[in-house]
Amino acid sequence: MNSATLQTNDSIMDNPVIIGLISWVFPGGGHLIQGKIFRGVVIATIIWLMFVIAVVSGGAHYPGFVFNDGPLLYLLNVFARLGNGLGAIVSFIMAGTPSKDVAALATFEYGGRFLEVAGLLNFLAVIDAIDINVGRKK
Amino acid sequence: MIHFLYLVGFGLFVSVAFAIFAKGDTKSRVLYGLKTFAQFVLISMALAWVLYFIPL
Repeated sequence: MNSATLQTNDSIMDNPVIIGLISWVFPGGGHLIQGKIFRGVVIATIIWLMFVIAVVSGGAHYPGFVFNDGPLLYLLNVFARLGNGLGAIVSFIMAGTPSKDVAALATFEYGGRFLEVAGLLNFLAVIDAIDINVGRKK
Repeated sequence: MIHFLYLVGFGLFVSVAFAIFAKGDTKSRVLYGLKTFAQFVLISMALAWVLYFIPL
């Protein structure tokens, strides 16, 4: 690897927007790429575990109604789910093909909560990764 | 039983995440995580008992 390539890599890593994007798309990735291995692995494990539990519990289909039935609840759900990054895309694709009995699952609403909170925690992880990048946090 | 497991799991995941994001040394962050987890579980149990006696 020559010095020009190294310099380009360094400038990418110094950009908080890039770090934020990586952290958002791949939960924990923003920390891992900055050498915060333990923190990155823990964040990735928590968020992906919550995501998997949510999807298995039927949470991808929560709240189970369209925008006009309850705009505020619907928008809050979309905002929180978007925090999952790559997981958000997966959950929205899954929500497009709901099975008939998913709303009858006892864990349907728990799954919805897990999915939302996983996304919100990832928003915190993005802020944390950016704080580390700009030197506000060690 | 499944509801309680979801509560414990939720409390565990969120507490660990809060402890990871918190500032301070390792000991204080571990204590913060344990305290947050205990608060999640105990306050939820207390609220569940209060709601049990309220007819809805």
